[in-house]
Amino acid sequence: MVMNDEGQLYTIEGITAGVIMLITAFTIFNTGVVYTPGDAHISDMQIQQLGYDALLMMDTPDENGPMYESDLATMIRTDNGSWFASVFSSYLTKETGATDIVDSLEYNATVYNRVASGTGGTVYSHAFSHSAGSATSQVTREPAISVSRYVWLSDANDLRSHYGAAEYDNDEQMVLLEVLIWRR
Amino acid sequence: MEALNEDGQWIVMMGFIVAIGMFILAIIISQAPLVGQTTAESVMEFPKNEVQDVRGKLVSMTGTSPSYTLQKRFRGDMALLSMSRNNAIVTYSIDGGNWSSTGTYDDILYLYHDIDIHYNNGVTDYSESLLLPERK
Repeated sequence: MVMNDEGQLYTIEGITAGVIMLITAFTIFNTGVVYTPGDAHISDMQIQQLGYDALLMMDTPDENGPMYESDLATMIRTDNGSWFASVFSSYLTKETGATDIVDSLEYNATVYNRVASGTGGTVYSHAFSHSAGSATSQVTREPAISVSRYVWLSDANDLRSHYGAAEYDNDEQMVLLEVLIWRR
Repeated sequence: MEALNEDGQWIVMMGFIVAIGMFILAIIISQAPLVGQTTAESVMEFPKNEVQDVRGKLVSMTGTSPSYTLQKRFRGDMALLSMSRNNAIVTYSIDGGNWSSTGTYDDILYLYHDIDIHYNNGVTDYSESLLLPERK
């Protein structure tokens, strides 16, 4: 028996029409959710990890002694924002040399510390350091990412003299360094 | 009825296949940001770095000569700062109520300091307990 092979083109056309209708329907129902890579927080995650890593490196003491003061702790204890700015900026722009890095990260660092008060806990904030960006970069920006790190200070008296107030008269205190990072 | 011209059917069919293939590839590529989003959000929602930060501070504090007062101080600082700035409740204890300079447990060679960390930011509820050995 010989197979009847007439009208093959009509068959293909019919199948094609069906597929096109299916794809059209699929496309229409998908237009409700349109994701671009910018919506997906992928770059946010990368910036956040970069910031945490930079603070971790700065908060690692030179010596492996317990409760040994790190560079970051020294910066905050002595209110040395320019030292922080130079080190943190260099960490944000570290590269392998294999690719060109887009050096467009800006940041603003604030120190929060607990202060003594009659009615329980109060938190003071202190503008610690910020990137030396242009005026435009401070206005037009992407949403900022917050990274933070607890920093152990060996002497709260320095805190009192530089930041105005402290929780304790002397001795150690834990403060929080919060850095907002954004891409201009 | 005039006979249908059946020349070039292969060319027509390959054209269709390539066209449909391009549609399907475009759909697959358009799903890529969605995959990246779920990955990125799950990474950002679990506060790995904050927990590691707290753990690192406790490990460097343990077994030196921090007084009980010091532990309470830092706990108060951390609890207040994390609530006011990180939207999280953080508390910890070193050697619990059995605080002593000798650690909670010991064997022939080591003292073990018992560190408990509790972290809750509404999305992630995390607790950990670790025994830090200290050479006798």
